[in-house]
Amino acid sequence: MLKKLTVTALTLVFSASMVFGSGFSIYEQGAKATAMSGAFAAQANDVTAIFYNPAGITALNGFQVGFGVDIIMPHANFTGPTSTDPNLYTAADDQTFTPVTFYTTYQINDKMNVGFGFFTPFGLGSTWDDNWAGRYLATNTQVQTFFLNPVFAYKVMDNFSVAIGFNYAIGSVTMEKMINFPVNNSDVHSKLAADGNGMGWNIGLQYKPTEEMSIGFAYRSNVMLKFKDGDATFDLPVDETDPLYPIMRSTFPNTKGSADLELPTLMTFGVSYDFTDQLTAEFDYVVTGWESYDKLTVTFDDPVGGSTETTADKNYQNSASLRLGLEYRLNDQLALRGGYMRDNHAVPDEDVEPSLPEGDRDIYNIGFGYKMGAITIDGYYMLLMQKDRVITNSVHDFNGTYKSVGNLYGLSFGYAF
Amino acid sequence: MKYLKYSFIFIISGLILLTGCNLQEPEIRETTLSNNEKLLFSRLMAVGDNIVAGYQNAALTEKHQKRGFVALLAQQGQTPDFMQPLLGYPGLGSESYSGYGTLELRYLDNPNTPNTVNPDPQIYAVPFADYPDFDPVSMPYVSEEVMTYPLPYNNLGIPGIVMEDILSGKTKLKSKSHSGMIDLVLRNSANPLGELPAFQQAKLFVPSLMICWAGMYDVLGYAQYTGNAQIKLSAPTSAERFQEKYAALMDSLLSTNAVVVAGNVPDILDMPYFNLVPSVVIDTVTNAPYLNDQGNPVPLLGVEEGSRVLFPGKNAEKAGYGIPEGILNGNGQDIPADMVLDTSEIALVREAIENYNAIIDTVCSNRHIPVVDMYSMFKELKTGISESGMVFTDAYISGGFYSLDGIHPSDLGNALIANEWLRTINDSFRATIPYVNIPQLMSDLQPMNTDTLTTNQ
Repeated sequence: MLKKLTVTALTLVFSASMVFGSGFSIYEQGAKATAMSGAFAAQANDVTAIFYNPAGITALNGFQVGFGVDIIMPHANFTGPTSTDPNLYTAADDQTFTPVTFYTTYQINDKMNVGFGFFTPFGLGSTWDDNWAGRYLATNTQVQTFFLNPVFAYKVMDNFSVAIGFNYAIGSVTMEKMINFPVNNSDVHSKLAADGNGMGWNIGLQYKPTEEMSIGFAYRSNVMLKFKDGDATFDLPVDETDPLYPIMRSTFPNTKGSADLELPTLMTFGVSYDFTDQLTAEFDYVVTGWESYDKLTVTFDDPVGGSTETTADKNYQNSASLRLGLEYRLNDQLALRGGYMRDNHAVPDEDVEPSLPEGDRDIYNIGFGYKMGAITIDGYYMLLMQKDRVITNSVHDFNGTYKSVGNLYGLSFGYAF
Repeated sequence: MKYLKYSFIFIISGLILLTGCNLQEPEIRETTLSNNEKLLFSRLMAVGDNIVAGYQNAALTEKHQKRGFVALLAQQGQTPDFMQPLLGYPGLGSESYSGYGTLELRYLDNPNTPNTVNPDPQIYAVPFADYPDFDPVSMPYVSEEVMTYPLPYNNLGIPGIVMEDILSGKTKLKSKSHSGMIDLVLRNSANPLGELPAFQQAKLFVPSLMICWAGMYDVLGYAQYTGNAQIKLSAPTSAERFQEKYAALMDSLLSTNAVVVAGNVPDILDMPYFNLVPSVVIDTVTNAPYLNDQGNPVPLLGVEEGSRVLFPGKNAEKAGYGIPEGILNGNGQDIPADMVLDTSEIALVREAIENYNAIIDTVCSNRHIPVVDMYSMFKELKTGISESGMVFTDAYISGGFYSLDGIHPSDLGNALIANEWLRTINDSFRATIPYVNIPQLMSDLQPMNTDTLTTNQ
């Protein structure tokens, strides 16, 4: 009979959380929109509207495709924990992420358009050294989501369009951290890797009360990503010959783990105005419904650390961002763009931990768009400056200061057949 | 050529792409000591009993003395030439009278009893016979250098002494507690300056910082089972005597002109040693309470309600004591009385600890001596002390805080204690001595990093 040690000192709870965006959302799904800090739900006048506000595709003629790539380069570091040394400095490993997007739209007739989008609205990750002070909280966390999003848009009136879409989401997560086995004070490397999928829907409205003005509204539903039969693996620091091996192995069996992760709603309201023929400004207000992510429960097929279920409190809050974008069209070919955005944190102070060192952000963008006949090229650069996040009341007793900055670059290519 | 006009945009974007923005790296990547802080710790001395000495796993041995909380304080404060009476392996302790040193965990779950429901750890004392190089009688130190060190040891903590022995205990015989460890730490038989108690030795050294954590053994020496090893105190030191001697001790320590920091007494009754053995018969096959024909647990003989069976009572029970005849291997005799604390003894222990801590508070606050609240810290273990995502509790073996003897803290427990002392020192003297990096220590103590028992330098 195998006995399992019930180890209260083990915090077996996996944290599923990632880097950047409020919480771990990525709103950068098109170079034109991102150059204007994502203030695009009212304009929504290229194929990326499928993400920002699908009602906008009713303005797109014929058959159009768009392909985009982003290069996301976050830097993050942590100073602390204060219980050890308030000046102890640890930098997270630098990583580069390159999510891609693909969009296509087709105009069925004057009133109806269909479209399809492929994008990654949630994800990213963080990697810290296996031996660092926060290794019992997180070492490596990676999350990817892929959304497949067919939409149908209908022009109700010349100045009013609506759209509805269906979302099929695929997710993959890898969460790694150390668990201490206090009996011989050995670190067990734990890894949970799982794939999951889920479904959701989205709608969009676009209304142009005057020639110059446009109002957009877009909403994306929750998506419940169901991760089933992921691999929970535990690398023991001792081999079979060690007297402690049997009980360590039965305490940490390699087993299957499942979890549900509810992705948040996304609600956008935007207004744009053409001040001149050349200058357009847009203001958007985006609310990410992170409230849905209040806890994460992982269930195991075999008891791990004496229990088949672990729950981590997440307590995320809804977070709002204010986005202001400008486009200046020098001529028919070239447009220059810029934007500023204020994005507010989703994770309350006490729950911030190293797998997701997020915080309030000031974000600055510049970009351009260039047209050569049927071809469009858009590019942007984004500087993401996160306010230093000073944590003094961590529920994990891991207080300190998180600093983070991000450089993002993106290019989109569009073709109108 | 009109494309040229715009080429600057691409050049600029290219430049941005190359450079990006990065975080400024801090100039200070960890806290370093100021000169004043170094000065404070330059001549660190410690007096007290078991935990101060670095006693762990029922013995004093270098392997754990080096990781005792006083050694950790010296490490964090960069005390130069910090010296302790380091003993070789397997060390000396409560099992030494019968030829054993420190305790080791052999199995967390004894493979010879495969049918237990609860894991039954197998702990054994390391016999001297396995270490012929270790001479427990005439040369237990790790080296000649340690034995003949020309100055007093910085750590004058002595296991098994009562508080007043710090002031007046000179040798095993010339002391109140008669602890065999006194001679090892004070080395008075070969002292050219004559026989000096711990306090006098510390004073000679002209200390800059005096750590004093005393009083625990004044009650532990009464409450614990001592067998033949040590002299059992017939009663906890009385409050009157404690008051008188503690005030004298603090006045003496202050007379050295050192900065004095004191600690109070933890509630020893919370320690696993006093809580591990249930007061009902345990089935040796399942390691779970034995149930009689009516399905009820069977109380141990000689254990009244409200009494506590001490840790060694487990071995007596295995030999049949406390178990009624006809059940398992029961011999029908009581669990030996000195392995049980009855309710009146428990009350005496509680009262003593309360009295000592009240006295320590008053005596120290009158003299502006900061007190490290060890009582509260040990209490906190009930709910758990969390640190960087780990939680330490008072659970035996799996809680991480206590060593195998169920009384003295483990290496990690000592690190938590050191940080508590540093917190008080930092708060009291506006210092910023860095705390022991617990996650780093846990990494250093990984089995693969410490496998060799000969960590002796």
